[in-house]
Amino acid sequence: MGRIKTKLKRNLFGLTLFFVGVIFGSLFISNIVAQGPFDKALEIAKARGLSPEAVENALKTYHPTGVKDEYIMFSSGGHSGQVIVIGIPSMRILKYIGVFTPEPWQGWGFDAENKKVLQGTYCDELRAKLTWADTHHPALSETNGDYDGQYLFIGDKANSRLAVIDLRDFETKQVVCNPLGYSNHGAAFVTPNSEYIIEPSQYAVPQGGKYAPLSEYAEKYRGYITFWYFDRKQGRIVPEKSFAVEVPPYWQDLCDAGKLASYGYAFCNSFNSEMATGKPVGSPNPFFEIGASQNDMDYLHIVNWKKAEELVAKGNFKEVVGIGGFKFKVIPLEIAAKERILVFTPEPKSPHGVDVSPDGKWIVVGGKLDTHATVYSIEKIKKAIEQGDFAGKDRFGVPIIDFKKSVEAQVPIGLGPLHTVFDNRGFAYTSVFIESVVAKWQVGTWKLVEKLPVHYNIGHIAAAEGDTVSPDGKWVVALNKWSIDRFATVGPLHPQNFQLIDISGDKMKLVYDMPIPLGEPHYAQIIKADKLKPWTVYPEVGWDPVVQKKSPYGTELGKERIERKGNTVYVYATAIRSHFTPEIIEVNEGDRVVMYITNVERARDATHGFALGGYNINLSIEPGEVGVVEFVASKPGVFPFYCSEFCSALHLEMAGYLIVKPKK
Amino acid sequence: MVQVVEKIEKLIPGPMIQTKRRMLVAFLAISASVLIFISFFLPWWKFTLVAPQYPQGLRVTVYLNKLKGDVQELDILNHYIGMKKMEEAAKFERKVAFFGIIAVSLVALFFLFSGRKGAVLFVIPPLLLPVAFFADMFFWLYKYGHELNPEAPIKISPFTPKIFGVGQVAQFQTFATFGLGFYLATLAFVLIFISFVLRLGVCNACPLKERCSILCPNLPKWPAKPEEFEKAGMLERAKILRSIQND
Repeated sequence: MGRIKTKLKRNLFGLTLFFVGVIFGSLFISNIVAQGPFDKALEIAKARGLSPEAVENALKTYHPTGVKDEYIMFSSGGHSGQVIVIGIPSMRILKYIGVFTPEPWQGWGFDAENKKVLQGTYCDELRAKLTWADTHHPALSETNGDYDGQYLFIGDKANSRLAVIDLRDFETKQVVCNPLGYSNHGAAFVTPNSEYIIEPSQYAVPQGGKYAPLSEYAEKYRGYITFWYFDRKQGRIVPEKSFAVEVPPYWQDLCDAGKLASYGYAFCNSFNSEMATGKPVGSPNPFFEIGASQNDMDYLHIVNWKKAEELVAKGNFKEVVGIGGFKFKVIPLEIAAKERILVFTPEPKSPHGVDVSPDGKWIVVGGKLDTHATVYSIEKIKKAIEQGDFAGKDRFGVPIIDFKKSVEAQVPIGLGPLHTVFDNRGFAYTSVFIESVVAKWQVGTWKLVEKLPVHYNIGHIAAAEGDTVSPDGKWVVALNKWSIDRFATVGPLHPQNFQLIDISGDKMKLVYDMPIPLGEPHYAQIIKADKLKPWTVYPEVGWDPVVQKKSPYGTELGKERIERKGNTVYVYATAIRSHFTPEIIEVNEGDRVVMYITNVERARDATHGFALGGYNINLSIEPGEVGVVEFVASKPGVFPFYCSEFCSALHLEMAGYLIVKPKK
Repeated sequence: MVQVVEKIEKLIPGPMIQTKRRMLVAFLAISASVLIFISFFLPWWKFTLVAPQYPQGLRVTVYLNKLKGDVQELDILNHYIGMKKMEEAAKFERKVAFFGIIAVSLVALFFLFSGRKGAVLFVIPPLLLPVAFFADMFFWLYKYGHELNPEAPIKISPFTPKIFGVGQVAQFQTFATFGLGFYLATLAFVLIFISFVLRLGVCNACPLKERCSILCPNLPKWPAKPEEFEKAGMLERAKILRSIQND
């Protein structure tokens, strides 16, 4: 017994020692934890009432100073007529690129040279004077179906214009007007090597922009799918080498270019195959919204642009004298139908987005009034075209492939699907407008995986390189039309809401809300930041950014001068911290003044402005750039000018006088 | 036959036996000459200015004939304190630099052919090269720091920017250091000096020490006449030669 007792005692002693050890040990550890480096962070999280998930989300997007984003998003700026450049995932706005609208900070539309860009190529007198646009779909230039980071294109829905932005300096280089119409929607979309930029018209108008009564709608009104030829070397669209395919007046919507399996094709939606002509005052006719929503099916336009290109090369086109008298190559509807350049297949009514999968095999259409993402197979479409297997023709003779013979699947994802993007794991993400969700579904099994509520009324959706041949996954951005209660109220006009979604895990996670306070953006594209190779300063002093070459009007330090030729005074000036040379300019009343101001700085960020009171002039002259000012000194007086970009400690002293002497 | 060969070996002038040493002397002198030439294409002085708005720093690199780097940016900063433009400094020096370098590197080569006394003179230019650069650089730094435009927007008291090490101008920190070119030129001088010292040994073996170059040109050339050896004071050799001739 005694021995047992001793054993027990020993064991008890051991156990007690063990527990004491555990207690002290855990106290010690908890003490370390309590004094750990993240303790303060936890305190803040608790004080702000943040859930662990919220903290996680915050950590995913936070970038300490100097740390740059992995992705760059180019978003349409909507009515601002600009492009918004946003870092992903931090959602920091990096720049507004002035495109169709004058933008004072960048001097966009104030410089005599870039003003000409804004007036456009192929623009009639109406459109040359525009100062706004409804920018819709940005499209990054592609090589082999992948973003190459060289150019960005964007369309203006309101005026059927297209702009080219050079991503070396993030400045607009060209604006072209479509002489065939006044509106587009699906612009811009590029073919896989940016051979062409696709711009479909939206609201059909009589050919050549002429007059025709609505009673002649079917006969005279037409839509066009325009293929703008892009000369990559020059960085310009060449209207003379471009062509359009004439299509019925069905109100075409968005397009997408086929890639890989579907290379050579373009796909465009239409939503008024009823050819509704609206409700004149007192008429019993239905409104467009009713009239254009009668058919259960509209037509997906399948355009063989490769074949169209061949036909144009052979001279098999007609020359249409369009708006402003500009001639344009058009493949007539009859030829397009006969040559099967244009083929239809039904699509659920009022479709919006048409998006080609990364491998090019599937074409996904979102019907605004439908509950499915309708997936077409390019293989089936090609087969039907080859075999001439058509269910019939529309009234214009365009062959129609039977719905069942072109469609692969209809994925039930919710009411009002619009646009679809893809990730690198075989999933598709569709924005579902009426339900305000992002629907994630699997390509191939055609199964819905998950729905994530977004706030609110999601329009477009963008994923990291999500519309290329090799999507990156990681991030999706929901471009919501309404923000309602998400932000502080700033009056009845609410900002839009861009919501960042982490798609790297099994579940989608909403991680960030970003208000967009400048127009209503439509589409956006997200490119890996390291694909962009922008300049930090212009390559040489005396640079003309419009043509991306050295300007003959650049001025070196010490060679500044004022020359008079008749009534025109030419000022060759330089800008350097902290003075303009010359800084006193004397002219006579009525003189035309042309100033070439060269910023001779080579330091990064050493931009000088040139603001001249009274003349609606403000330039942004970036290091190396030549800014050009042109005006008539119509009023005598003394007009101060100054550097409007805070450049140095003596910035305020960087000023001068334009002295306009009165006529005697 | 063996006898004849042995005799001929004895005829070889003393200095020539020190072939290795002479090779070394020549190698050092030629290396010095090449280094001096190369230094022309390398930076001699480097200057870095650190300020918050220049995260990479502003750098100016001084070559013997040109300035490289953020010259314009530094000029812009300097003009606020009334300092002259850097391009205006040492114009003459930069103009003649190339010819100067050619001359000094040739001098380092001529050293090989000079007489013993003259050799000392040939050591001086390679020594002077880095010294002169240092002095000239200091002169210009002093001049620039002291001849500030009195009308400058920012008035500071005259100063001499540091030629080497860490300095401070207003809130800017500066770092100055010599470049590879300067160090190579200094090395070249060291090499030529070693060469010179080694050469003394070579010439000690030369019967005509005073007029000896490393080739000892005043020694009779092979095949030589006995009288020439006698004239050079090498009676032993003269004797052997005569005996061969008599054979």
